[in-house]
Amino acid sequence: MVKLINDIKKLLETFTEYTKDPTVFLRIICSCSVICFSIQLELENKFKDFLKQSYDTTKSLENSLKNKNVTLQKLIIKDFDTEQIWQQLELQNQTVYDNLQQEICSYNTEFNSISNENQKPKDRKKSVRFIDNDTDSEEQEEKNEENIRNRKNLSDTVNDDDVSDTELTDLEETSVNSEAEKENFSENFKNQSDNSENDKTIDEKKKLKSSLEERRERLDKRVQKLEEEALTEKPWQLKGEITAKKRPQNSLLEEILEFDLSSRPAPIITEEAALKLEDIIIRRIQNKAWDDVEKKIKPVNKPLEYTTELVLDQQKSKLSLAQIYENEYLKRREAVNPETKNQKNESVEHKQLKILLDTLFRKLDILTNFHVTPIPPTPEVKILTNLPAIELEEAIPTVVSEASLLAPEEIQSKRKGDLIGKEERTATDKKRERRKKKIKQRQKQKKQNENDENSKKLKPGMRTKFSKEKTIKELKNIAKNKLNIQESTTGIQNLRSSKQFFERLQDTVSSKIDTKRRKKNINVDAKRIKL
Amino acid sequence: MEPLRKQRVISKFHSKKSNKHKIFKKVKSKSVVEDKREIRKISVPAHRYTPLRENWLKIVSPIIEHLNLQIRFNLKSRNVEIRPESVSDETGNLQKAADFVKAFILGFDVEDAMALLRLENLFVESFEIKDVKMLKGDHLSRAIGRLAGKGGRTKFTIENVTKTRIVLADSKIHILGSFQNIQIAMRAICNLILGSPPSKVYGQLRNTANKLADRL
Repeated sequence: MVKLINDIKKLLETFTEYTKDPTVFLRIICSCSVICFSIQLELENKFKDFLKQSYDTTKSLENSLKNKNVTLQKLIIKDFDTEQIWQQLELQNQTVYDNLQQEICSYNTEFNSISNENQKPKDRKKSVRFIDNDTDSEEQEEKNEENIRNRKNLSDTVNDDDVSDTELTDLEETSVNSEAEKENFSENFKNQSDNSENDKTIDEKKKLKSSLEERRERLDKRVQKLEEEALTEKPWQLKGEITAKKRPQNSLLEEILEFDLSSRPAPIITEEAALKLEDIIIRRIQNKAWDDVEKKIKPVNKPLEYTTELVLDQQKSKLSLAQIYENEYLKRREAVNPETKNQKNESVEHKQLKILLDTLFRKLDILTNFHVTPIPPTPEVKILTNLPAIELEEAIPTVVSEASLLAPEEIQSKRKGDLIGKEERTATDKKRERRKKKIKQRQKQKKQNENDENSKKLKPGMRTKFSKEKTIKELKNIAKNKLNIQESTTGIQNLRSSKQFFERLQDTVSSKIDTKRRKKNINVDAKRIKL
Repeated sequence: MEPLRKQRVISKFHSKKSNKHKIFKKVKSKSVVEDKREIRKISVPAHRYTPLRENWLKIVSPIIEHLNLQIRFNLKSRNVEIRPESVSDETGNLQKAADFVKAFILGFDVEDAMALLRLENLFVESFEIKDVKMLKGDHLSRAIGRLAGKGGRTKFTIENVTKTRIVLADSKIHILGSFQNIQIAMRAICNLILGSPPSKVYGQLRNTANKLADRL
C-alpha cells in the first residue's frame, strides 16, 4: 500500500516536471525541421514511458474488476504507434466507464426495490440490463423472472411500431412509475398503522393486468377520444370561411396565419432607410437625372408618303409632248435596269476601294464590341408599279406578283373603327365627328386668311370674290363695337395735302442723295488718288 | 391657133433623191402606169396656212427621212398630200404621217405633233362644247374662259398634270395624248364646261394624276 502511494507520488512529480515549462512545446515549432524532429522524438519517448508507468501502477489497483480479459494488464509502448497506444487506453477507459455506470444504476435499483414491494415489477429496459447484478433479494429474483418472461413476450411480438410504442410507453411509465412510486412511498410512510385496509383498497384499485389488457385499454382510450372529436362540432379554424362574428373575440391574434399580399407593403421608415433615400436624392440632384414627364407626340402616318408629290404647274410646259414621253420612256428603261446605269457612273477603282473599306470597317466593328452587331441590311430600292400584270404592256417582266403592289392602306389611310350609319351614331360619335369637322374648318379658315393676307400684301387693290362682303362685315363690326378706324400711315392713299407730298418727296430725294454720296465715297481708291 | 398648153406640174413632190428642178418631158397617156399608191389628203384651213408655211421644213423632214414617204402641198386644193414610195405600205407609216399632219393642222405644235410619229399609242380626241352642254352666247364665252383660265393657266395645268396637249379652238376642243390621259383631261374639261370651279377641278386632277403617277 505504501509502495503504491510512493509510486503515485513519483508519477505526479515527474508529470509536473515535464509540464512545468509549456514553452518547450513551442520551441519545437520555431526551430528548423530536422532538429525539431529529433527533439520531438525525445519528448515523445519521455511521455510514453511516463504513460506506461502510470498505467501499470494504476492497473494493479484494479483488482475488483471483472473485465480483465478485455483490457491489458500493461501498456505496450515499444514499437507501437501513437494510434495504437490510444486504442489501448480507450479500451481501458471504456470498460471502466461501463462498470461505473452499472454500479450507479445498481444503487438506484436497490432504492427502487425497497419502495416497490407490492407493485408488480414492469418491464424496464434498465432492469433488463441488470440481470448480472449480484443482489440477493428475493424480489429481485422474482423481478428477474418476470423480466425474462416479458422479454420473451417482447421478442415474440416485435414490430418497429410496437417497439417504439413500448419504448414510449416505457418512458411514460417510468415517469408515471416514479410518480406513483413517490406517492406510494409517502402513502406507505403515512399509513403504516392502517396497513390492512390500505392494502385492500390498493389491491382493489390496482389489479394485476396483462400487457394485452393494458394495450387494449390504451387503444380504447384513444378511440374514445377520436370518437368524441368526430361527433362534436369542429372548431372555428376548420370551418372554412368565417366572419368575425362566428369566432370568439381576438381569437385571430392567437392564430398563426399564412396569406399572400397582393400589394406592396408600405415601406418601414427607419433611420437607415431615410439615409438611403437622402443619398439617392442628393445623387440625383448632382447628376441632374430628373424624372420629368416627356410629351408624347403622335406620329403622323401619311398613306401616300411613298408617292411623289405632284406640283400643279400652271405655266406652259417648256418640254414638248414628245420630249416628255421620251423622258418617261427612258425612266422606265432605267427602272428596269438600274444596275447597269450605276456601274457606268462609278469607276472600277472606286468600287474596289469601297469594298475594301467596307470589309475593314466591319471587322473593326466586330472586334470593338462585346456583343455581336449583325450586318446592316443593304437598303433595297424597289420601285413599285401599282399595276396588275395585264396592264404592263411594254414592261419586260413577264411575271409580276401581287406582293409588289402597294397595299390599299398605302394609297388611302384606313378609317378607324366600324362603319356606322348616320342613325347608328351615339352621342360620342356625333360629337367626335363634329369636333373633326370644326378642326377642319378652322384649318381651312386659317389658310384662307393667310392667303388673303398674302394676296393683300402683293396686290393691295385686288378684289376677290368675297372681298366685298368681307369689307361690309368689317365695317359693321367696327360700327357695332365703335372701334376707331386707324389711319394707315403708308400708301399712296395717305396723301391728304400737298405739304405731305412735298415732305415725302424731300425725304426720298435726300435719302437718294445720301446713298449717292456714299457710293461716291466708296469709289475713291488709293490708286486714283495717286498721281 | 395656139397649141395646147402643156400642163405644167404645179409643184414638185419632194423626195429624197431629187433636189433639182427637172424638166419633165411630155408624157403620153398610154405610157402612164396607173399609180396604185395610196394618197392621203389633208385639207388646210386658211388660218393654218401661214403656220404651215413657216413650219414646212420641220414637218416634212421627219416624214421623208424616217417614214420614207413623199409629201407635197397642193396649192390649188389647199391639201397636203402624202404617198408612200412603193406600192405596198405595211408599216403603217402613211397613217402616222397623216395623223401627224392632221394634228398640226388642228392647231398643235410641231414638236407636240411629232410625238405622234414617235409613239404609237397617242391619239387625238376632238369634241365640241355643245356636245357636253348646250350653251349659248355669254354662257358659252364664259365656259371657254373657264376652260382657258387666266393667261391659259387652267389649260396648262391640265396639260401638265395629264401629259396631254389641248387645243381650244373657239367651240371645239382637241386633246392629244395617250388614251387614259385623254380620258382624264376630257373629264376635267367637261367638269369645267359644266360649271365647276377650277380649284375643284385641280383637286380632282391631282387625285387622278397621283394614281397615274404610279404607272410608269
